[in-house]
Amino acid sequence: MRLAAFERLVFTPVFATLLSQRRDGLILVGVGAIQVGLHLAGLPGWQCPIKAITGLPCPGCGLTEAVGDLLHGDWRGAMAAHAFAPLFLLAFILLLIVSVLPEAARQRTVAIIATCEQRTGLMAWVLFSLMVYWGFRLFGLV
Amino acid sequence: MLSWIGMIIAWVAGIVVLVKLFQKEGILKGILGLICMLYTFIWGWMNFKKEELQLKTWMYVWTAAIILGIILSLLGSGGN
Repeated sequence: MRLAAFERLVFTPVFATLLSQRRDGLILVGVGAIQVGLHLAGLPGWQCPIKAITGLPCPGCGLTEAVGDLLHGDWRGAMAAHAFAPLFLLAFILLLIVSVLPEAARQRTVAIIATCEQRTGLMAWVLFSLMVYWGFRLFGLV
Repeated sequence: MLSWIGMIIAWVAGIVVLVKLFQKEGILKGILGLICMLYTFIWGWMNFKKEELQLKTWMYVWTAAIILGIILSLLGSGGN
């Protein structure tokens, strides 16, 4: 029973549901691009409410800086800021591409990604890994 | 002082919306929202018309607190 619930949790498509709505995808990409753009321009952007109050980084803290470093070709800096930055950048590029595809091609791509997620549980493993990575960061192990 | 009040308000509103995200979309999207509070914020605005979620007030409060924070940091005063 518990195993079935765990399997349902892990193998439920997450990224595909983000891709399934064109408008939502474009909004996410647009806001993400604005955030990185503000960071690169040295302007104040989105501030993590968790870090602002507790002083502790949330699991995603450092991603904006890391993606900015990646766009400048600074892999070492990006890895130091957040090791998951390449995955997030890849996801955003995929989100952008899928969001601007013609409807039929978009739906086919979403279906392929959903199937991939249902078979591998990839997104769930990435998210769980990120939580583990966050734990390591909190204890200064990375 | 003003920036601190704004941050606390933003934090409370953010946590409330994050809890609603967990409840509505499940654990994985909830984790995604925790990783990226910006996603939680966008999700809140995308769903704020859904009466059952009761997000309207929280989203207005959260957004106002964020705008206040940005204005204060642009002014460079920190509200002190």
